[in-house]
This record gives sequence, structure tokens and C-alpha cells, in this order.
Amino acid sequence: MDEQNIQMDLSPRVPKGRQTPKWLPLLAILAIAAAVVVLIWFLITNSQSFLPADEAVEERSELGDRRFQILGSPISSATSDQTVIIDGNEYTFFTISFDGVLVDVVSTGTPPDLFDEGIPVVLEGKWNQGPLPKSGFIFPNGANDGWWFSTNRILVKHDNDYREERLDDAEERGQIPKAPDS
Amino acid sequence: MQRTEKQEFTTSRGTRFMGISLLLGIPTLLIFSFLLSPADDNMDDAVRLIYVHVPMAIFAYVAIITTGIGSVFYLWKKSRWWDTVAHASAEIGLILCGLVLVTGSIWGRPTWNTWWEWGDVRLVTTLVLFLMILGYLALRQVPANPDLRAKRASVVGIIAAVNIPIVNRSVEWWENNTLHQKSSLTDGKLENLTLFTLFLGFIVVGISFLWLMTHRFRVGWLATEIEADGITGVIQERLNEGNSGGENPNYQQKDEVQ
Repeated sequence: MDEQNIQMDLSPRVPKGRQTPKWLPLLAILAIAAAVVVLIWFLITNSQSFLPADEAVEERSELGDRRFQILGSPISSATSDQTVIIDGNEYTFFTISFDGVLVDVVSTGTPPDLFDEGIPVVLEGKWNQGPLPKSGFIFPNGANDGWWFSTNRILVKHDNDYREERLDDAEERGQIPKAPDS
Repeated sequence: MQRTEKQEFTTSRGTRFMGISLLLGIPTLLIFSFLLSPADDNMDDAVRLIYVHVPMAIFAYVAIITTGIGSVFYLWKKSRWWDTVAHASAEIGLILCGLVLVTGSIWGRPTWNTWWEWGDVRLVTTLVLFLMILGYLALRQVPANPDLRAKRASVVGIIAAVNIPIVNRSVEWWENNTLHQKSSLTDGKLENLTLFTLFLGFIVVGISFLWLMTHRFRVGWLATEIEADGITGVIQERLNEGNSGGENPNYQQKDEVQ
């Protein structure tokens, strides 16, 4: 070594701090554990799937008053005469259809923006039999068989068609086509 | 000194070209997305999210599959190069996957009438994928020797990549367990300017991915080299400090490179 190197300071450097924070291993374990927990929890609790309206009608007695999700397409858009206020609560009356089977629905609250005839919806609620919240109401072109589905949650299951000359899901199943001006 | 001759920056002619392409591509995509492409009959303007949401989802898959491939090759070849590829790709995959969840949620509110559904297979499997990649990156920060760290991370990287077909096919396999639509692209349910703008989105997001990937890989590779030099490199650096009379040799290195 030359003289210059002998004179240089070779004392250990003072560490500037931990390069790896202490919480990082914990974060790694937590993230992987969270992924596993979410997956297992999801698989356990997700046994319930949407029940198409025709199957929901078939299984009406087995379903009883259990809450479930029903899938179908509104046969018409919700018009103002289908929405009524009873005791300060807003109710919307409409009918959904799946493969030609009709189900009358009473929904609390206002339907979402995309609610329209022919666009499939998933409704969360349960079967009811007997008098409607508005006595004597007749569902236009509905089932009107004394059974109705009460829901407080309407989700829209939009299809994947973005073409101008689109076919609605309902129309593809040979049901009532969506009116061009609706 | 040997290290002074190495490239210590991440720019190249290729990345400059990609950067300039993005400067042109992003405004073009915005013009097509917001002004030229039509609104949807049912969704109205909400449909415009498709131009970023779908490309980001596809390139999140690409990134995480790249991590999986890098992990397999690391375990097979024990090559630091493949480990660096896997690491770089995972970071970009995490960002894209996070953006997919956010844009999907923003799209879901006006379309499905919900920000998030815990019972939805597509949403939850995507979240699990995000958490797996987060775990992969956090695991890489756990103190360990580089080989052990790469080996541990590779196992998680492969598991995350295996999740991709489940996420992608979930809308087909569990059709009645998700609000998410099936693929419009493979079903031929897009046309004209909507289809063109989506392809433009694929090009822009694809170049962004390549640009980020190239830079991140090069940064990662430089870090790997410094790490591989280990104590020898540190001693050499101190010797250089002594020889240069206490001046920072890095400045000198830059001068030499230029």
C-alpha cells in the first residue's frame, strides 16, 4: 500500500440507521396472511350465488323467507306511477323476468340510474306472500299471483355488448325486446 | 476502476423513444376517449373507463405473469438477472393491479350501483392477487442473504402468477357469482371507434409498461451489482475516497462516463 493509503481513516463508519424498517417483515407476513384469510373467508361465505328468477319461482317453498339474490330483467322501466310513498317510505313496484317467468318486485328506495327494461338486475331480498304495501296495486303485465319479492338493494348486472345494434340479454333469451326510445 | 466504466443511469435510446411515444400517445388517447368515441346507450359516459381499465388489467396480468416466469427461471437457473426481472415486474404489476381495483370501483358505482361487492368472484380474486404481490414485495424487504430472499420471493411470485387464470376466467366459471361482465373483446361486442380507442389504450398502457419495466429493471440491476460487490466494493470505495483526498468518487465517475 502506498503512503497515502496508510494515512487514510479506516475507522468504522457510524451507521446512518437501519436500512430495513422493523415493521417490514411484519407487513410481509400480514399481507400474505390477509390474502389467505380473505380467500378462505370468501370461499366459505360465497356459497350463495344469484338465482335466476325462473329457478327462484321453482324453489319458492324451499327458499321460504330466507334472504337471497335473484337475477332477472325488468320488463319495463320504472315510471312515476310505479313509485309510491307510504308512511314516509318510498316503494317502487316493478316486474322482472327470466326465460319467460315473471316475478313481481317491491323495492324500497329509488332504483339506480341504469335501471331499465332489458338490463339484468340482481335483487337482494326475500319472498313474500299476501297483501302488498299498497293494497290493490296491479303490476302492469306482471305475474300478479299473490307472491312478490321484497328488496332493499338493486344491483345492475350489465352485459358486455357495446355495439350500437346491441341485443339486450333479455332479447337474446327471446324475451320482450327493449323499446328503442326507453 | 472497474465500476466507473459501468453505466450508472437508466436512460437509453429505446427508453427515450418510448417516453416520446407516451408524450404523444397519452393526449391522443385522451382525445379519443373523451371527445371522439361515442357514449354508450346504457352506460352513457361511464363506458369511457373501459379505455384504461381493461388495458391496465391485461398488463397487470402480463406483469405478474412476467414475475412468475422470472421466479421459475430464478429457481431453475439461480440467475440474479431473472430475479431482478421478477422484482421489477412485480412492482409495476402492483401499481397496475391497484389502479384496476380503483378504476373498477369507480366504474362499478354508476354502473352496478355499488363500489364493492364482497361476494363477487372477480373483485375478490383481483384483491387477493393485489395482496399476494404486496406480500411478494414486502417479503423482498425482509433481511436475508440475497439468494434466500430471492428463493422465498420466487415461491410467492409463482403462487401469484397461478392466480391469474383464476382471476381472468372467474367471469366464465362463476357467471352467477359476479356482476362483472364477460370479455367484450373476445366476444366481439365492440366496434368502430370504441374498439379503436380500446386498442389505442392497449398501445399506450403497453408502452408505459415497457418504459417503466426497462427503467425499473436497470435500477434493480445496478442495486444488485452493488449488493453483489459486497464488502469488497465497500473497501474499494473507501480506498477511492482516500486516494481522491476525501472527495466523493461518484462525481468523478460521472465525469469519466461523460
